[in-house]
This record gives sequence, C-alpha cells and structure tokens, in this order.
Amino acid sequence: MSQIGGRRCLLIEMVTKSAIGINPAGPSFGDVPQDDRGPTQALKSVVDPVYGFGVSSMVSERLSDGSVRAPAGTPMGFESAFECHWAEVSSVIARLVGDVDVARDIAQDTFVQLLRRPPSAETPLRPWLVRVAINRAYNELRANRRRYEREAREFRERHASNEPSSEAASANLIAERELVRQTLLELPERSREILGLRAEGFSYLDIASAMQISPGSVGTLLARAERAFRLSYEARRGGM
Amino acid sequence: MNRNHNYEAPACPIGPEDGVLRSLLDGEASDEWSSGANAHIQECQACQRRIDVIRTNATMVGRRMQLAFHPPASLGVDTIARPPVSALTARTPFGIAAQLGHLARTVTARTAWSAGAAAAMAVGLLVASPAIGSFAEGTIQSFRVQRIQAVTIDPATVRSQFERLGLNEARLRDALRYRGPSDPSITLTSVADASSRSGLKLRAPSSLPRDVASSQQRAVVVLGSPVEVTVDAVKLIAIARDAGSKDGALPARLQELDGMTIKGQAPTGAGIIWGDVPVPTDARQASQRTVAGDPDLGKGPFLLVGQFQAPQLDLPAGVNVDALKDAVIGSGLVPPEFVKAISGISDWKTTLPVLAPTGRGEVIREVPVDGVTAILATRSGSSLVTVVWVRDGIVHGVASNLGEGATLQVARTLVPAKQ
Repeated sequence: MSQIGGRRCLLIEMVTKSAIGINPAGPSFGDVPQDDRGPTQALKSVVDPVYGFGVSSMVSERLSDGSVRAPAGTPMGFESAFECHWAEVSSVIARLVGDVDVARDIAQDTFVQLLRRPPSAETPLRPWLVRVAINRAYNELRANRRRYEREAREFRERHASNEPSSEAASANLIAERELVRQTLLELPERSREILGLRAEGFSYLDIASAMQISPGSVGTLLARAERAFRLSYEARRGGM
Repeated sequence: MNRNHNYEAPACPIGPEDGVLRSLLDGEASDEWSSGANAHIQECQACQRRIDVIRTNATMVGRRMQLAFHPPASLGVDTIARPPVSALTARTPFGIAAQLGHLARTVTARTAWSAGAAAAMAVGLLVASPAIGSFAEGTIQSFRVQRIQAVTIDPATVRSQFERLGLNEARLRDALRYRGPSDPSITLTSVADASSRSGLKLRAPSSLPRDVASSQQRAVVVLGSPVEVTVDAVKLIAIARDAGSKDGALPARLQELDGMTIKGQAPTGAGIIWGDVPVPTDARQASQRTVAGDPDLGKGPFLLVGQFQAPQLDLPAGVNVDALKDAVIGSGLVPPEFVKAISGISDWKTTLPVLAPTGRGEVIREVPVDGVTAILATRSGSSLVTVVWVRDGIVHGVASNLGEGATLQVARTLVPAKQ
C-alpha cells in the first residue's frame, strides 16, 4: 500500500472527522448541496439509489452517549473508506487465504461490517479494517481447514516427485506455511490477531486502537503471543 | 546461530515488565520508560537474559508470520478489482428498517389524500411522501421500479388500526430517528432549466387541450432531498412487542440493525403546469392545500404534466421476498387491511404499490398508456383526474381538471416540450 495513498486516506478521514467536530449540532441537511449537478450527482447516480433507503455514504458515528449520528453531508465517509482501503484489505486477506475469489468475498464482508457495525468515530479506520479482515481470513482458514490443508498436501505431493531443488524448496515452503497456519489457528484469537497486525507492520498505537486495548498493553500481549506461538510451533515441529 | 531452546529466563523483581522489554525491541517504548529500563538492563544479567528470550521469540515468530502469508506473486493478480459500492449496499439488511421507515412516512401521508393530492404528486408530493417502497427482491445491483399498481386502502381504516396497535407517527419516527426529507422546495423556472437541473426530459402534449391552449406554460423542478433514518432497535422492538408482534425472530433481526444509519435520497422531479394554478412553494404546502380538502387546485382549468425518477430500493441480495414480506407483515406493525391490499400484488420484483386511498368516492382504474399500464384516478364530486405510470425508470403523471377523456388524451400524446 503506497505511503502516499495511505496518507491521503488518513487525511481524508481526519478532515471528515474534524468536520464532524466542528459541527456540534450534528448533521444538517443544509450542508447537502441542493443543486445536484456535476460530480456529486454523478457519484450519487452511480452509488446512491434514489428514493428508497439506499445506504448513501456515511459511516455512522457513535457518540459517547450511545446515540448514533451520521456525519455532515459530504460524499465522504464510507465511499472514501472503501476506496482508500480496499486494496490493502483485499491484499491482506488474499495473502492469507491464497485465493483471490475467496479473498474478494471476505473483503466485501469486511466492508459490509464497516457499514453495519462501525467502530467509534475516534477509531482510525485502517487498523480496524485490517484487524477485521485478518480475523475473517483466519476464520476462513479455520472453517475450511481441510480444504486448505488438502490443497497444500496436493501441492507438496505433486512437487515432491519432481526433484529440481527449487520445487523441493517450494514444497518445503508450503509445508512450513501449513505448520505456521496450524500453529496460528490454534492460538487464542487475540494472540493471532496481534501477531497478524504486527506482521502487517502496524504501530503499537494502531494495534491498540484496532484491538481496543491500551497502548501500554500491546507489548505485553505481543510478548505473550510470541512466546505461545514459539512454544506451540516448536512442539509441532518436533513431532514432524 | 545460537539455537537456544530455553524459553525461560530468571525473573527480576525490580526490572521492567516483559511488555516494556518487548516494546523496547520495537522502539515503541516511551522515552521515559526507555531510559530507565535501559539503565537497569545494562546492569542486570537476569533482565539481559529475559530480553534475549523475548528477542528470540520475536525474531523467530516474525519470520514465521511472513511465511503465513502467500507471496503476492503467487496469487496471479496484482490487485483485486474493487466492486462497486452498490454491491455492498445491496447486502446490508436495511430492508426491514427501510420498510418501517416507509411505514412511518405513510402514516403521515395525508389521510385526506385524494385524487387531488395525486395531481400534486405528479410533480412533487410523491417526492416528499413516497407512497411505499417496493417489496422488491434484491439483486447485486440497485433495483428500479418498472410498474406501479394501485393498492386501494381506506385511510381512515388504516389510521384507526395503527392507533389501535399503539403505533403512532411520533413513536415510529422516534424509533427510527427519522430525519427528512425536509419537504423539498418546488422551484418555478424555465423548461430548459428544469430539464437540466433534474436530468429529466420534460414533456407536453402534442396539442394542448382547448381550455389551457392559450395559457402560459410554467416549468417546476423539485430536487431530491436527503432522507435519513437511524435505527434504535430497543425502541423498535418495544413497538413491535406493544403492537402484539408474535414473530419470535423479529427482535433479533431488529437488534442487528441497531445503530445503523441509513441515508437516502428522495428523487428529483420536474414538470410543466398550464393554467391558472398557484404553484405551491414546497411539497408540504402542496399537500396541505389538498389535505384541507381543496380538490380544485385552482379556480380555472389547469393541466400538469410531470415526471420523476422511479423509486429504487436496495435490498440484500438473495433475500427471500416472501420472508421479507412475512417479516414485516408478521411484525404486527402492518394492519391486516393493509396486508390484504398488498397481497394483491403479483410481481413483487418490479412493482411499486401506490397507495390509492378510497372511502371518499375515489375511483381507481388501470388503463393502457404508452405501452404500459397506468393508474387513472378520479373522485366523484370532483373534476380532478390523475394518470400515473412508470416507463423506462421514470414515473410519469398527468393531472388536470379537464375531464377523464382530455387527461388521458394528453397522457397518450406526450412529446418533448418546447423550451
């Protein structure tokens, strides 16, 4: 995910949220341009169902009193989150499950979750989305464990019989990946979550907001998860 | 490499916790923690041992985690194409909330709605008070109405039943935190401007009926306005319960929608008016005038030819139409009369049920216009006639006080309006 693209998305997110902050009275339909020509109209004609209650654009914002409001009327919010983060979200999932079509479905599910059960307004979206994505990918791997293991085994068997060393290496790689996966999937959910987020390069601060823990707990959780992973992995390995 | 299988390290009662040590490795410890911790570690063998173990774990796991991910090259594509947003919105289950939102609106729909109101509807009132959403089966894409069907109901009966069930507009609006549409303004303008602002091609009869032939033509445009609903599941569940809902699955379904905000857009419409008719400045005014029982919108003859974009609803892909119908009907929120009337609709997928109130001498018929079935509404004791139909995703309407024959003739001879 390009750094520039990532920053732009963060900027859009910040602008949207500060716009909310500036308008304490909440959403005002006066903000919605009545003259619907031009790019807004084009966007709406593609994206918004007219009439009926099509979900238009906003990720709703949960206020501290538990009520919910949508941010002021600009065509930002969900569409821009979708636009900004799709690539990274779909990539992380695809690299975990190894199947583009499955990944596309899971990525869609992830954004649907953003629509239906959005995090609080202060939550940075990118780590949250990736966390949800990683969890869904893990769930996919667990649910379809037999299928993925079988595919891995078949790949190994196919390539074990031809002996060029690069293919043997590939077969080994597949075996390693399987071992890592099995270990990961046996860990407690929070542990594999934090390992996944760290592997994707998130800072402790982002991990903290994604997982809704204090930044100070991240180190502890991480150390614990890594210890557990290593113990389990080497035990499996020893048994191979 | 030192293959140290010793995972354990001696404890240190005064040294930093594992979490701090770990964060030091990532450079994530705060300055305040770092300096103190580093100072201690330098002098403490136990802590040096501890940080070694933590470092070994972190390095080993870090490498393995990279293995957990398939290399991008193996996937065969550079990027996964992003689907259109509508693919996602088609999957959010706001169908029920949407229907309830619509119900909230129809309760407010003027109970003295008469054929005269239908006339104003052709331009703006339908925009402001959509009759009812279509119980349409969702597909991956947004879904547009292709035909309308009159559903005759007696508003007085519906209203009394709503009241009997303890449903009232205020309560529903509260549970749905319903906002808007603010009654959209009706703007008087030129044909060209109305066309360009609405994106609709305004039409007129190829020859005007004699009574309005010498009248000036005035174009109006009603720009769609936002609609917003935020679901408060607790309140909705309470309403359903109080209304005697027996559907055991409903509370869970409603709970899923809790906090969801749905923003929509009432459609844009435009039209042309001939005759001595004061044009209301907004849709609320238009409806109030007719609600007050003024079936004749003006003293003299008038003709109105209008259109607006057909209603469109997104529903979850694969939603079973019958299940959705049952959910709303079984919710106890829909009066039986209403249910019976709705059940008369055969093709849910493409039909917009238009509430056609009866009880005041309205006569509703279906007539062919322009290759589709239109609804013709008249009312005894009033000269108002309205014809409404859907074609190519546009809802068309013609209203006048010139008699049934003339109005139908106009509807059947529409051509692009002169600018």
